Amino acid sequence: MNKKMWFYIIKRLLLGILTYLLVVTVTFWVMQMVPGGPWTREKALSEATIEILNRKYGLDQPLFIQYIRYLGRALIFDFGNSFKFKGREVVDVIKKGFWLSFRLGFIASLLALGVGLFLGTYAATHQNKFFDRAIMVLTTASVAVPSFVASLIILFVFAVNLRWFPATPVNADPITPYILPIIAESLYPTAYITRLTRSSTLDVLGQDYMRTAKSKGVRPSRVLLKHGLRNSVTPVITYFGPMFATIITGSLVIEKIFQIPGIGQHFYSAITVRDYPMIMGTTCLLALLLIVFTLLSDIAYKLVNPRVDFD
Amino acid sequence: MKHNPLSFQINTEKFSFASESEKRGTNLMRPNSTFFVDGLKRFAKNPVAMVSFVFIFLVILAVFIIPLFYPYKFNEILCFRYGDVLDSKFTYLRPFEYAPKEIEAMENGVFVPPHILGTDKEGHDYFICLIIGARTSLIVGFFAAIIVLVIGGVIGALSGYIGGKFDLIVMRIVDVIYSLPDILIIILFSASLKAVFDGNQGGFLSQLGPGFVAIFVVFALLYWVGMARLVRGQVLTLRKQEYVMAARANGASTARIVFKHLIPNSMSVIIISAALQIPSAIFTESFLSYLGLGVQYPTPSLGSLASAAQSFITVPNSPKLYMFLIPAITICLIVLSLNLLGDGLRDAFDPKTQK
Repeated sequence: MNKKMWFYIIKRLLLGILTYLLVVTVTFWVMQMVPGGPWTREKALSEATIEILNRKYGLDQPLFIQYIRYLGRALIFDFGNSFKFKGREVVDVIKKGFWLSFRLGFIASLLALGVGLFLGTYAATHQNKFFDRAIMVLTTASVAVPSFVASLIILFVFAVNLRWFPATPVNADPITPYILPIIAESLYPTAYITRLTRSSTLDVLGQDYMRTAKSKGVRPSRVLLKHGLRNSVTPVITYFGPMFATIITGSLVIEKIFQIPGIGQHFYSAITVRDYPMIMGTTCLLALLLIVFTLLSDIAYKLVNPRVDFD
Repeated sequence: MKHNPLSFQINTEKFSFASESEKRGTNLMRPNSTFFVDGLKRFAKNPVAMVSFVFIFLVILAVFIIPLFYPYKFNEILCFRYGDVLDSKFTYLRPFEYAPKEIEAMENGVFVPPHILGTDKEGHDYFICLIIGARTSLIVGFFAAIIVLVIGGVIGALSGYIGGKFDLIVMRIVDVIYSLPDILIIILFSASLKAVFDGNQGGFLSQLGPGFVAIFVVFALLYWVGMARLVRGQVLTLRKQEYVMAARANGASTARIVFKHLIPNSMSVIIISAALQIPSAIFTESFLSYLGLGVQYPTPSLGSLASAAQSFITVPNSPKLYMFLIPAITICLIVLSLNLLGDGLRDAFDPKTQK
């Protein structure tokens, strides 16, 4: 880590904070511009009730004051009470949903990384053999399946027909109901990482330094792991950071199909009922995670690949 | 002229005019080939890409020609052919099954075209719904890709070319859009578009439906950022290339550099990534339809057909399972062949992958 690296990290952090505040700004004004409010119901509430509710949640203040308040809240990550979940703090609701989505997404992304790196390297070192062809056909096919189709088919085969796993979460059982959603979540990233690893490993295998290492008498496994993987893993690093941020915040479709009360579902229902603090809280969390993990994967990319310039 | 043996001057006596046959030897062995023709040749030699191309071509033909002569319409509720009463006997017919009234009509000697894939919940012919659904998905994919290409291309190129403060501001906008959750913008925009449509009953926009327009608005607002980053990166790397400097040193005008060097060298990369936008737009549309935010009823799309039939998948051995599987598999096949086609185009036209 030299001076240039620190300069780069500080610059990126400052830009990240700027982006974060801009996200809050855009979200706030878009929410205000869109028709429909938190008190729009099938049966209209009386004027007096709406006025009381507005005063209670500070919606009677001028928009600019409300905006400044949200900016402050976003920085200390405290969004007050939810409109929809009466009397509960947004941060608590988010914490509960995020903890569930995070666990599923964390396992799914580690699975995708491990399986993807292994299959990709294996396919590249056995190019044009049977397993390489089979892996390529499978991964090409699985990036063409929309996630709701994949999840429904997984549900149909393993839960409805074979009955190996329950179709919906069972309270007493902490493991089995979550296996299918984890598989569904990891399907696309696994296929994608496999393809990335295969093509970059094929590139690396043709390089001169690999032949040099081999001719020096280094063991083949060591050539591949020490000299090959370090270089072939760089595109995977760039992909993995943002992917990890997205996957740990839950997939709405998969949470809907497997009936998991994760953050994806909370966010969706918050948007449809215009639960402003909840929308703001979740958006801030998602944006923050995305910014942080994109930055981390860029730093990791530069650490693994010292040739890359800092700009 | 006598030649001094120590002179470096060329001895012209040693030279003679070339004969006709020698002249022919310097001719090119084959006619000149352009980058485009070379690419097409490489593309034609790639069997996977060719098969995908033929498949997509046939699908496009099918979705535009079959509705012209098919006896049923996608928005036609079949029971109204036989009187003005709703008849539940027309709903959920199995493939090639007829409703009682249709059997009656056939006994009277009327020709009733078969329902190749049966009928759906409202009593529409399912086959034509599938065809129109595929057409909707393809149209969405194609136009979304064009929107992304135009907006992302122009902004990215300007940002890379002008640089400075303009580039800095554009890149911050890109960062913000990239960090905003898609689903938030999609839901909020389809809500506000709905309000616009409700005030504009019977107009052109309301015929398309808010979902349909919302998809294009979303693509125009959100998904240009990837393309803009790509084009900006292309412009930045190309500007530093030696041949651009050489052209400039030779006194080439900016217009000549842009049209002769920058555009041809970045076009293939950009067109290929635009081609790969089509399947990703079809993906997005099917995801939105699954959430009920996509194309609105009665216009079907593959995503809305599959999600309407998703309840059959939770019942073991449901006879209506095909109503989910057929649109789902059609999406997968279309996306798969578009992906393979895009890969084939990249292998054939991307200058960097040429061996």
